[in-house]
Amino acid sequence: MASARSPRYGTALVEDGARLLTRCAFPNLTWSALQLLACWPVDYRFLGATGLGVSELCLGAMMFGSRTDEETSRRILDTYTEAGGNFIDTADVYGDGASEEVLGRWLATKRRDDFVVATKVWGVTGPGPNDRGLSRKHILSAVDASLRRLGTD
Amino acid sequence: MDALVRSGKVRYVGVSNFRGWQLQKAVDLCRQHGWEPLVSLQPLYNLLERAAEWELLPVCQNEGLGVITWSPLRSGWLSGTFHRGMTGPPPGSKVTGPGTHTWERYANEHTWHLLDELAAVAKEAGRTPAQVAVRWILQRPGITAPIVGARTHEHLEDVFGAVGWSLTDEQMDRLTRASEPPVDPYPYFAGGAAGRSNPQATVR
Repeated sequence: MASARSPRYGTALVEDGARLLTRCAFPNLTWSALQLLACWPVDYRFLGATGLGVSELCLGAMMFGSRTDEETSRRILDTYTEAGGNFIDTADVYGDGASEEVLGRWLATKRRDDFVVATKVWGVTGPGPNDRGLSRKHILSAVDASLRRLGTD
Repeated sequence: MDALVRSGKVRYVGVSNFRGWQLQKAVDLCRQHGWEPLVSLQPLYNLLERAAEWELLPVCQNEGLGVITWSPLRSGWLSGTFHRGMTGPPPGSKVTGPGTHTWERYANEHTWHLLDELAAVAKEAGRTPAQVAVRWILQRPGITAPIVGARTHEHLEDVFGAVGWSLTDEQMDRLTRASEPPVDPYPYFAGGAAGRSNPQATVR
């Protein structure tokens, strides 16, 4: 390995500056969000060998729609993305699908292409023997169900 | 999974919570068959759980997989609310709920020693223990991004303080030493800490 760490964008600071200026042009952005942006410039890293740029903090959506209500979840998502976050982790089983649904309704108000969303399949989604695991049948059904909840099918 | 990517329903395929041999086998099978490669692993990895260093992280580094770690604060254990002298988890803590993050698992001298060091480094750096614990993960070799699970808006604002600055090499060393597993099971004791931190030593 040439480098132990994932490569980082050399232009991250420039990008942060540009993003700050861009956000200033939008009056609906809160001052606290601007402060977040200025104080905590989130950097980006490549995800493995994909060439995908992901923020160095990935937002875990496990609690969305269950322990965290939808309104709070949306505020968290707004703050996270206003600070430069673009990487969100969920799963079909989080909140029995509620996490994906909350995320999907929020994504519908954004540009889907701006975000990298990771979801999962394996866990128990129903009472049947094929409502879990990694069979072709369950994976195909679960992917369609996740895409439907995420509003991106 | 290859068909899913080709159909456009899925952009990239990653795995979580694999064991070392499963990960290497999956990577090799994809390569042999010309299937879409695995792009990332999602392991449990933090100051209290470093076993991913034995097999998983070297595979990821050798094979070019991104590493997205879960539970950076180990359900609150590394958030600054736990410290030496406690006789039980604080009320409402996730530690009282189901999972492997139990009081019984971590209420021991190894943890208290680590939390002492974490608090000391945090004070020195002018950051919260949670920010330092996340920062440590960010500066470890081969890590792409920790997953920060915000239940409240305040949690998120706290954790954002983990970026935009760096722990010094000396501070990283102190945390890495204090969090060394007390016992390395066979076959990992052969290389010990040096073996784990030297992925180049793995077989190509």
